[in-house]
Amino acid sequence: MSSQQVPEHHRRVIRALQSGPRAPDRLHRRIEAMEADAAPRLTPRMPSLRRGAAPRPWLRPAVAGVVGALVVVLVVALSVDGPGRSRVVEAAELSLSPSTEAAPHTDEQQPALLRRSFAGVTFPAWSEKFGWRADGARSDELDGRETATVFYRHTHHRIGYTVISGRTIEPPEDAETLNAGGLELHRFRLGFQDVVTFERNGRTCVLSGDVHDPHTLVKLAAWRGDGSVPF
Amino acid sequence: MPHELAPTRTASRRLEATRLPEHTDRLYRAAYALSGSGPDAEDLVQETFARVLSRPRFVRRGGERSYLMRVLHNTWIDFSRARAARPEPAAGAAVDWVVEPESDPGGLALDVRLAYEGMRELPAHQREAIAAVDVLGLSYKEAARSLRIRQGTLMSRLSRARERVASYMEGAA
Repeated sequence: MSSQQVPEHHRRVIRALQSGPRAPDRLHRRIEAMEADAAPRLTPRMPSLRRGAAPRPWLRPAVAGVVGALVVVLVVALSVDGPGRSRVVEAAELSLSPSTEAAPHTDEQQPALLRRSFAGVTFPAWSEKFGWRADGARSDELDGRETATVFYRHTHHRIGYTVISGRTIEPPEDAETLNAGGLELHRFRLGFQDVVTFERNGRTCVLSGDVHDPHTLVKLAAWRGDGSVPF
Repeated sequence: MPHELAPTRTASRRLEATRLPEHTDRLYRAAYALSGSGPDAEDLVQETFARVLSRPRFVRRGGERSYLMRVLHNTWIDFSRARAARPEPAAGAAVDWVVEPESDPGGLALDVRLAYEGMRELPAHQREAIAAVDVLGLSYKEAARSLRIRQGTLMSRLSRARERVASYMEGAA
């Protein structure tokens, strides 16, 4: 941002805002205590390196073998999408983001579907059956992949249904695997949100939100609308 | 899709908990800009750090502030929803201003108070844009990413927000 492009009256605003209040000392103390408490958990445990230790010639072939094996593992690992917690988590966090697009309407020809598809997946219409009505939508990019999210609302609860383009992403390792009506789902908690991931048409779908009953998301995800919702 | 993992994964690194407290002041300022209340800003910052510190995180190099803004923004949305069921807190509750009027012959102290008052008049999306860029100091790109909006949208919201705050300051002075 070049300062020449910013008009003087805007610069006055910026100067003022940057000189705003400082955090109270008690907050600093609390944050430092939280950091001190969390640091041992968050710091990776690395084996200590022995300074000055004499090289051991007999170790070299073993090290070379291990390195070779690691290279093979790495090549194999890169050829598939491994446990994708961070991307799935980012997709789940989208359910907390604001809508940026209008809610899609229900397809009059197929009342179990919305008039919105992405990457070969058509979003379901849940208002008639479950009372969850489409409330908005947004499009994002996560690590180079396009995503589309439709938000649904029921009373004061809001959930997000995100479809991630590209190959499917393996669920997080700590996710619980369920089977609902023949559909395999993976469920985990993200803070106060419930998250389920599943596949439709070869795409990873992430349904997440803060709901009373954790089974709600499973029930919605697995709903086939008497065969109208393709998987 | 061979390019999928390359750009961001290689540039990511583990977020160091020991470096987080250095962002407390700026984050508090941004939280105050969003909420307009000292106690709410404290709660927001504490909850933001609690979420960040709950498990190991990987962020882009130099992207700590941008990441914190994203978490703060999410926390703010949750607070706003919860607050909808509660009475509005007293605006302008006591905060620790950096510039005091008695040591400020240039009038900056008055400007600071007016600017933060003006922030309260803004719609939420404009407040978020100005908090991310002008208060927290993120670049347009970082701020747009944190708020999950397009850069053009951010710049447009930012410009309108500055204009409205400037008008407020002009009118109130």
